[in-house]
Amino acid sequence: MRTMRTTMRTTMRTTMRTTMRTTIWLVATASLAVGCKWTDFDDLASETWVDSTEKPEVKSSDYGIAIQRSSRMGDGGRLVVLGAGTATYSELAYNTEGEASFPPTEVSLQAKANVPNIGNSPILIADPSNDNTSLIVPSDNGVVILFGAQGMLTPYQLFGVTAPDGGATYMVAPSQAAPQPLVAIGDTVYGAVLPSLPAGTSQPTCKLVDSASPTTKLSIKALGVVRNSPATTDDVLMWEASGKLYRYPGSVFNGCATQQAQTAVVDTGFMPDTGSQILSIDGGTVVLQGHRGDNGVLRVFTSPSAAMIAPLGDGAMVAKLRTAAILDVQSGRYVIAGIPTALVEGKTAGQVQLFKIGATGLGTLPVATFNDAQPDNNQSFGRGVAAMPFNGSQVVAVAADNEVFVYFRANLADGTALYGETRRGR
Amino acid sequence: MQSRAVFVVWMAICALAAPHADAQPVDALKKAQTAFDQAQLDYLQGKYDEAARGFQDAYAARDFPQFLYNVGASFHMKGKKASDIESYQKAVEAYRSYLKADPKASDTAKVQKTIGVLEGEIKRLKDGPAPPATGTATGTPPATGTATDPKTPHVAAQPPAPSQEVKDLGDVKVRGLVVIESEPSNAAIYLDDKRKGPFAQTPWSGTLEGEHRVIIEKRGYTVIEKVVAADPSKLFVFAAGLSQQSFLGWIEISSNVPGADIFIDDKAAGAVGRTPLSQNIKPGKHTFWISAEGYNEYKEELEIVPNNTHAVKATLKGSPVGKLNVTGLGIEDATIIVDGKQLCERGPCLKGVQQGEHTITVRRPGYKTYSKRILIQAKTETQVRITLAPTASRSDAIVAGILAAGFGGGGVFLGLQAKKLKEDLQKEIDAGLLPPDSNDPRFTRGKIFAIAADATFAIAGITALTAIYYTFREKGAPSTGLIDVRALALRPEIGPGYAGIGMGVSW
Repeated sequence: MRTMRTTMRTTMRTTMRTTMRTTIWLVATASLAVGCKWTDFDDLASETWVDSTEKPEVKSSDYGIAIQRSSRMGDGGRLVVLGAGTATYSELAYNTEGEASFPPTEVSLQAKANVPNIGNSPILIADPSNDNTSLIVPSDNGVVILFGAQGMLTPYQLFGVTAPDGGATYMVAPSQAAPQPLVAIGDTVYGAVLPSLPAGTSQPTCKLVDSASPTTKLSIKALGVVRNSPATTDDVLMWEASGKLYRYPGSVFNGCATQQAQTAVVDTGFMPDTGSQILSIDGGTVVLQGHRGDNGVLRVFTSPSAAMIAPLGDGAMVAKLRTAAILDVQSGRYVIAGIPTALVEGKTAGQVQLFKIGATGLGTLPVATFNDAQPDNNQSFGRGVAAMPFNGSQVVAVAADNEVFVYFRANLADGTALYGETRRGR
Repeated sequence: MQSRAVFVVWMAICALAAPHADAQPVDALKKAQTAFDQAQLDYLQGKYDEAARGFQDAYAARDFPQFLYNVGASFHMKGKKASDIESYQKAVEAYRSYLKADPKASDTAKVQKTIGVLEGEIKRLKDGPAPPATGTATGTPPATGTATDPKTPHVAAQPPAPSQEVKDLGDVKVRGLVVIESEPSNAAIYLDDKRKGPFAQTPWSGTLEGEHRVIIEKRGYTVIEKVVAADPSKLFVFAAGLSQQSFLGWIEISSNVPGADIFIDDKAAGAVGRTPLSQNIKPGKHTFWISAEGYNEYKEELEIVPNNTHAVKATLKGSPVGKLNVTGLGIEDATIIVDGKQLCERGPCLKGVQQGEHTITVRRPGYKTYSKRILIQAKTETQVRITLAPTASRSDAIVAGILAAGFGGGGVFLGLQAKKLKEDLQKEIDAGLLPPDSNDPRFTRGKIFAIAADATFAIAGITALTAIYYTFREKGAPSTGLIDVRALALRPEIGPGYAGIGMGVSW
């Protein structure tokens, strides 16, 4: 019995020690085998092609309601980002490595120009010559143009008390050395001279009419420009609520005595709503982004002369389309279409689709689709889109709910590069 | 008187004629045994004359002194039954012959006392009134009646009762005999254990009580062993025929300290005998250790050559010795180890230990081992009273081990999750289609998993180390020992009613 007890104790002790040794060995081996460096994820995050910047310390509760490329300061890139709730204007700066920073550019629009808030479709346009941006919004005192140049907001102009629902565009106007904003309210366009109207002059206005029915009041939904060739000034394209696309002479910027009839008109077949856009591609070619309700359309039109406007191709019907921008990269020109309520993996997360602009117009199907890799409901991915100049190229920027995405490298759906790595140091 | 004279003549003839035992033929032994057996039967039946004659015949065949004793015993009993003077005289003669034949008999004093009692009884019977009638113990009717009263009817005369001294001697029993012989003779006889040394040499006769293992060994001959359980009333003969083994060597081991333990080749097998020792040994190289308590150990290696005699003469040098006495509760289940060598398989342990520092270790299963370095001084008794503390439960170590395993498993799980996320993200980044953005929650989740995995591994490691610590740490009170050192001094002591060697103890 004594021997048996001794044997049992010895066995138990041996077993226990063996178990301990095995446990330690297992722990050590397991920690070596599956032990992780958490910094690997930081490296991966910086390695990924997409930078995501969440709402910085701004007062807006709804950050990223609209974005636009901004004036650059050297290499890298810069975005203007608007915030709603408490309306703010701010910028995001990206260095050449693609790292985002938040320079001290936040401006309270309420304090600056009595702008209490910003609606869902603020008009934020960029000067094609220098990427200066202008924000056209209503205020307690009327329509305001806020000119953002070199990272700051400068003078504003009042246009009256009507909401600027007709859109706006930068144009090279007669007698103006640099592009200036043209703003539409109702059936009238207003020429805005930045930074301020010449002393002693009043705000130039011009009522646009359809020559076929001059008494019919038009409802402007979008403004755009075409370049007169060989002249250096622009003519104006106007997309009216009935769906007709008109061309007017650029002199409307400087106002007209009573009204101005079009030089050319074409029925686009789609009746645009507020927030629709006319996006210039080159001298005489534009892309119409129109939406009404859940219907949306992207279509290329060309106006080679003052008397002619014609569609180029059939265009693409894009449901729930809300905004668009033109991306011009080495692989071609594309329309960046923002669809902020698109269903992604069963969630209303929003999506951005890219359509190729070819010689015969727009492809009917997207060549690339972007959305959050981890989509979520009400993410509003694509409620603002922009082609941000970055390190000498253009990259896709997408605004979502309190978040801004920048794609520094992107592939098309077929796996070919939309554009390669744009960040330096990689 | 005539018969006594015949008996004396016979005794003389026997003494002269009795040849040496080892010179007698084997059938003489058989003859002696036959006569012995018959004589013993006669003795039991009360035929004391016949019994005496039978024992005399046995002695004539083989001159074992015990036979003479039995002759005396037979006459002694006859004399006692009938208060026969002549029988008593024959008994005295036979007893004296016995003592003469075996001067070193262990019962010499007793036999001499018996002789004295019987001689006194003879004198008492001679000096006392003549019995009214005499008869032999065998029932021979008296030859004559009493002259004083011829008219008295004939009544068988009763022999006088033996004296109280004779009665006190009790009834005498004849003795059995154990005879151990060998061919050739002069072989060493060992009883039970060679360590006790040789008991006698063949031929040997005597009494043995109880059961014994008899070992007979002679140089150059095979060793014979036999278990002997002799009947104390019978003649038991063990005749060993030794066969010659010329291939064996012969070793004679002696030491300046008699009784030293002898170990050959394997000390763990225990002592094979004590000095002096002579025995056969297989040829080849052998190692001999001779040790005695209080002396340094002697070691010698020898190459044993067949048919040759080899001697190991150990000179043991004494060294100062003290006594170590290990006691304590439950010590009977503990093993006592001194300097790494087992001193006692179990306690209590009282043994001599050489003077100097020694490491005493006491081990008992289920208890913490006690170990201490103790200085043993010469002529002292160092008593260590051990209190062994039970070995503490290791359940905390087991719990810590389980927790370590659990944390380790958790770490593996979390690590695998982190690894999977990392691989998925890497794959998506490499693919380029819908690549994750820098704020993708999976980066954070993966980082959390990775940190959690590493933290869990760290906790597992710490827990595992804790488990190790718990496993091997000394938990609870240690085993203790209370040490007493007492001076030992042996000195002769004489007192009223006693005398001997006394020991004074002081501490």
